[in-house]
Amino acid sequence: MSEFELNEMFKLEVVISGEDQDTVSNMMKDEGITGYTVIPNISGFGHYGHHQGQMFFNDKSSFVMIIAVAPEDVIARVAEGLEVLFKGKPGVLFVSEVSVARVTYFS
Amino acid sequence: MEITLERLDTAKRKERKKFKSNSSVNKSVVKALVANAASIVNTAPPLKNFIADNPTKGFEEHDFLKATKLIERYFKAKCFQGREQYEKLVADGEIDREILNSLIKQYEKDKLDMPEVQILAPAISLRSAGDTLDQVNNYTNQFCAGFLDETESIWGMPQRDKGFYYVWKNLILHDPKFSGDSKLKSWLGSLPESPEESLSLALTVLGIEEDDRLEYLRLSLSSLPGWASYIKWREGHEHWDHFKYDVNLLEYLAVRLHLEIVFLKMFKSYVPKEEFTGIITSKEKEGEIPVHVYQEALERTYQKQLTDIIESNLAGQTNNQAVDKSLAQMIFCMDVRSEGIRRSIESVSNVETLGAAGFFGLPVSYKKYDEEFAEDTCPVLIKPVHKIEEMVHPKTLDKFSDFQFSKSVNDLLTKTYKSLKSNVGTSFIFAEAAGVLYMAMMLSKTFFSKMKVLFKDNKDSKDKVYFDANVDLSASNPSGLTLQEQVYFSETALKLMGLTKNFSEFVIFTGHGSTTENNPYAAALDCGACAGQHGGDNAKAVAKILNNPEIRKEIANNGIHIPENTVFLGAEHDTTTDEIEIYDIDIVDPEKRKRIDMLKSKLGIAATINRESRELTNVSAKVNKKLHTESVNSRELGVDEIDHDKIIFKSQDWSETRPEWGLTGNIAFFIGARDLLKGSDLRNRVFMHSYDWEGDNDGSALETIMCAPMVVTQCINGQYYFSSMDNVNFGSGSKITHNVVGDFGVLQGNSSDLQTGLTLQSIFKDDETLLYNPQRLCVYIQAPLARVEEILEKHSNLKNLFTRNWLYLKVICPIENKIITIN
Repeated sequence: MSEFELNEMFKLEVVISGEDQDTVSNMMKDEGITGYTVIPNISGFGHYGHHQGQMFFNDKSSFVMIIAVAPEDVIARVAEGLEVLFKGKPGVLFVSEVSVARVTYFS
Repeated sequence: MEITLERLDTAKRKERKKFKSNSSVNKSVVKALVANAASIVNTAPPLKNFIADNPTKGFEEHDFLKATKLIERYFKAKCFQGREQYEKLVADGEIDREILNSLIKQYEKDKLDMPEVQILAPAISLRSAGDTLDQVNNYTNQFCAGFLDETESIWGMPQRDKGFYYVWKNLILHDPKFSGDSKLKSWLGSLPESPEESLSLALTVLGIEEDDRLEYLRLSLSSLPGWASYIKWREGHEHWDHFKYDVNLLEYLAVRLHLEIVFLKMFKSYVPKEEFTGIITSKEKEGEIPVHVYQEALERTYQKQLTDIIESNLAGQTNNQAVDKSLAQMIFCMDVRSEGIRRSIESVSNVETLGAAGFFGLPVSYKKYDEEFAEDTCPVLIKPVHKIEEMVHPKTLDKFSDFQFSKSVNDLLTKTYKSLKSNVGTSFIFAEAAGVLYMAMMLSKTFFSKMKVLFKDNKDSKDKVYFDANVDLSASNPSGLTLQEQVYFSETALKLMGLTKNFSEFVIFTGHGSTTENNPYAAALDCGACAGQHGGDNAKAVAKILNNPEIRKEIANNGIHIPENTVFLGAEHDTTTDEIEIYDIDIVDPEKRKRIDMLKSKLGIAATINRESRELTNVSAKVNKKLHTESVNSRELGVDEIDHDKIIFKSQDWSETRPEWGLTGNIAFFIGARDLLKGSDLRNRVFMHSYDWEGDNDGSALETIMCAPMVVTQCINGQYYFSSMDNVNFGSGSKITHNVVGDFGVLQGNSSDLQTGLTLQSIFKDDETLLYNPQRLCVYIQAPLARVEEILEKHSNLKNLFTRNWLYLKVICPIENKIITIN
């Protein structure tokens, strides 16, 4: 069995309004994040009440989750920006340590 | 191991510096700051994509009254009419005294019980004021117009591909206005390359503390909201194929703040922070009735009229008859203008009419054969991923080569004309040489366009080339729709309007569009659900999908059985002339064709009736002051015979500033069965979406209607409300002094902020008198109360529109058989 090497990275998961998706993805691109995953139409309950995921014919009022993995420094800079964004916009942010297999994909 | 933001901020600061080696500014933070500030303005699309959208959308997080205080503060704008105007409405009976007195009592009670509402004013003022602010604004106006114009001017700004800020930074060094000041020039030359760093620097130089930066940027954007709104729209359409150069608010703000520094000559030294203004309150003068109470009384007066009409129909007192749809079913857009034409058609024919969002459930863009780009033809809430491309109808292929030849000749002539007109070497000679020709053309357009209307040939042209909607996914149309997608979208469209059984022989999807001449705001009169385009193309496409036997088979598997003899057709209602064109009649077999001809003749009569009804709006003030339980009769109003040719001529008259009234006067959105409003003359003031609560067991159709069409109607209502209340701040002012810039917008005179709202002529019957008094929308939903409540609980964004009083809600509950007022 061959040896399987994992590398430490940081993961950022952010839930935001669909209309802020471009702002956040641009932040990520500008900080050098090379890829991210978007989960559209997510449901949940929070500070702003219930939010139903599926909104047929309305992309703007939906909530999306964006997931990105990058070195800690990069994630920290994006997180700092998100902290400012959340002063005026709804959203939550999670940052955690993860292990990734192909480190070159994330740095 | 637990990770915290604190740890990221402190323990790893050193490593992070590696990423900041070239910059001390975190670009993400600057971007976020600008994104937050940008919520003060809504997006404003280019003119050809104009749709009515609430310009104060960013304030919807507040209660309506509180929001109006903030809007007044930021934009120095009016959110209500003047007290004298409201008092006149009371005297004229347009505001019900009883309702007003009851609201005054309620207000007096609330005033005692509730603490005074305090609104935090913007905590900082713009550094520039008076003449300096004018200089900043003038420079910004000119620079924005120059940078964003990609079509009209022959000499464009250089290096626009490198961005708005880059171009400004380089051009200002050569501006003669500043080139004499060596210190200024040297300072400008040393500005950072990065817009983020530059904006951050400008805020520092202006002496804006960290805590005040968001507010300062908001104020900067509110200074010229037109440009800010348009640039915000462009930012959301980055890399759109209609434009070569991108632009964003961050670069706009970087330029604007540096202009403040330049005109204040603050580059020499930093200035100390000023003392800020404090708190404003909503307190009214003792003994005065606040204008918002009058406004609510006006709105509730009209709501009472509509509620009475619905209640009388609920009780079966009037107009409740079995629907005769033996001739056809016609599905119109929910647009308020459909109310009149539907009423007129129903009065002369056995046609059932239904209402739905006019894009008929197809989230697509549509590329016309002779257009360079595809245009979105679905609500702006959706980003279309599918594209429908127009193709020549197989039956007219033989005429296509002639069509192509005339088109290429026409294109060549247009191109040559433009070059001759704008080329430095030829423009003067061209004006001299072609002046006489232009005089002849002008005279012809002025005098003979009326002849064109009078002698219009209504027969189908045998030489015309017809185009068909290519909806299918294929190698030539990779963004087309798969069979499954076509099934899904068409089935959803039918379910939303409750049309799942009892199909007529002809089911006609009827989009709408307006015909006007010399009107940069033409799109404002077209279909909002189709993103400011004509709705006929979507109508044609959805009809084609539903005529496909494979689609019908799939839909039947899901429980919707469309009879074999049912034919779906597309059509378009011209809202200026009221003529309805039915497309592709030649697919109907000759036997059925007779009945289509009969329908066309009925539609012609209905058009006459509706033109007459619409014209009463212009000629009788009395008719506009209330909703009517029955069709208004012109003779009873003492109105002489209506000149139909004059109305139709408005579609061709290049001097006409009011070809029609668009959605002016909209006051309610009705979701339910047509029976509850049938026969009543609602003066084209009510959006109507058909809904069958009994056929929607899980409430999903209603949920979709509330999440999308209802949100759209609120956006439209917001635009009409604020453009009417303050046409200078939120509207576009008078058309008379408009000057088109770059094919995307208009300015007032030769330089101004970009005008983004409705024109004065769209809502005022003369320079000072509004056609209708603006009102917030009231939504009527015919459905069990529990179902409506459940949907609102699931969608806090919808619930907030009602709890924050941006919309009113009344539920026509069939379980309790009564109308329940929610707010």
